[in-house]
Amino acid sequence: MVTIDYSSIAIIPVITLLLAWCICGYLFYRNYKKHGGGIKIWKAVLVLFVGLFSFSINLNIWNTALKLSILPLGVWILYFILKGRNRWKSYRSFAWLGFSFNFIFIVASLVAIPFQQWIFPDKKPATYLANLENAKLITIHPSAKKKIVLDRKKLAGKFTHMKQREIYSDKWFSSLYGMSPSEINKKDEHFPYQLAGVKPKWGSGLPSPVLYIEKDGKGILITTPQQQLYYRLNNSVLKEEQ
Amino acid sequence: MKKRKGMFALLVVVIGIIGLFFYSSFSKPAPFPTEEALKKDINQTFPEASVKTIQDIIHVDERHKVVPFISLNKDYGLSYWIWKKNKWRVAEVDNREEPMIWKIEDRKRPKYVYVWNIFHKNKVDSFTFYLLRQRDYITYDRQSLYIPPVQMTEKVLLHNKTYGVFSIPEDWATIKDYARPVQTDWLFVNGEDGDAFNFGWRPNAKPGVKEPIIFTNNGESFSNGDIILRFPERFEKGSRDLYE
Repeated sequence: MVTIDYSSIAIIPVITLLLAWCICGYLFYRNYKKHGGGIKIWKAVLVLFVGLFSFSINLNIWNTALKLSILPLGVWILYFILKGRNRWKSYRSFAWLGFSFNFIFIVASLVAIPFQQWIFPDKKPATYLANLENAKLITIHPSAKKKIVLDRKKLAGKFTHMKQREIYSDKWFSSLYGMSPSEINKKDEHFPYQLAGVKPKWGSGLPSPVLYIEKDGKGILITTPQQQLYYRLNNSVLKEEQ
Repeated sequence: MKKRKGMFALLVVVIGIIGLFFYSSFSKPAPFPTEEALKKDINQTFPEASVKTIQDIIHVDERHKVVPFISLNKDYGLSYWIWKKNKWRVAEVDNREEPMIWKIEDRKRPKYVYVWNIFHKNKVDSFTFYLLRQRDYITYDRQSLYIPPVQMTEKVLLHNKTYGVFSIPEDWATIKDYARPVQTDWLFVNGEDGDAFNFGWRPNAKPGVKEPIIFTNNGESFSNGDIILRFPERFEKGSRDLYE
């Protein structure tokens, strides 16, 4: 059975988030020291976490979801609860520190973007075609040549001689304009094979790509949730069955 | 102390319920009932079925079986059996003429099984089953997406039997799996499974049979609602929706 990763672990954001928490921990520790132990530590931590609570808007920058905090709701809640008493003064810095952590997290997500692009470039086929051991060719259209199998030796060549091409949608589809449905369905298919079982690079956080192989075996159409990439190779990855 | 005892009792009850749940969902199914018992069970659950003869017991998987039968009115019918809550239960009885698809929900991935019991066996030689998807082209947010068509076929011989089952091949299931959540960002889905795939079927006449074979599909069905059955699309030779 071909197993499909619908979402694998995204290692870069995990690392930056961990770093962000380390920074937060350090800032808290410094602030707590400054207060000289006047407050119990669990109370300070509680105030900190309430302070984190904020009204935020969701932004989407370079396919990354970001939460931009605007209103410090947690700080206000704490203020209303604690304002009558002396304690507010001593807790205030922890509440605001909690709120400021939101921005540290945003920075962490922003820092993750270039690293993600550097280590797992989303325009490079190698990101999507990392694990080819379990690759399986499936013929999906009857216009495909019979008795064709995957040439594993060529496939192992890591797709080095690939050139990105325009997606010739006009050739593949738009030229079918004006045809009746029956005429369209009688046309031979450019991509009569699907390559199943290929996994993206570990830690990329990308789902298993949908890969279509062109009828001559020299073209590959990589379909991901965000985009579609079309590459041509010098040699066919298919061969006649012996 | 009283409080502790109460807590302990509660814990025992909770563990017991969880244990029972696991026992009932992972326990091995009991041996399948005999034909006599099956007949009695169907006629009790769905008296309208009026089963006369059990034709066969077909194993689909450990927890699902199909039992074709002939009724008192000489209708060819199917009963669908599911091992559920520690009992073999009949989920549906029908006497449709056309093949149906039984969608069996599973933990990992759903199973799709063609099932049929037709009285045309002296006219029909075999079925051709299809997994189909239309070719499509979408422009979206200044990007374009080309979706190749899918047409996968399997020919299944009837071997002079009126009934049979056919689980979709592994390759079909894989192709269908790939379409599941990956492309939801792009596609306006129209299929029942949230993808663009359709199942189809075509009867192939025996040599010498000239007249068209008519499947009326005006049979009856009785269901306890605990089963998903679908109509695959019927195709003819030379259909405009097929590449041939």
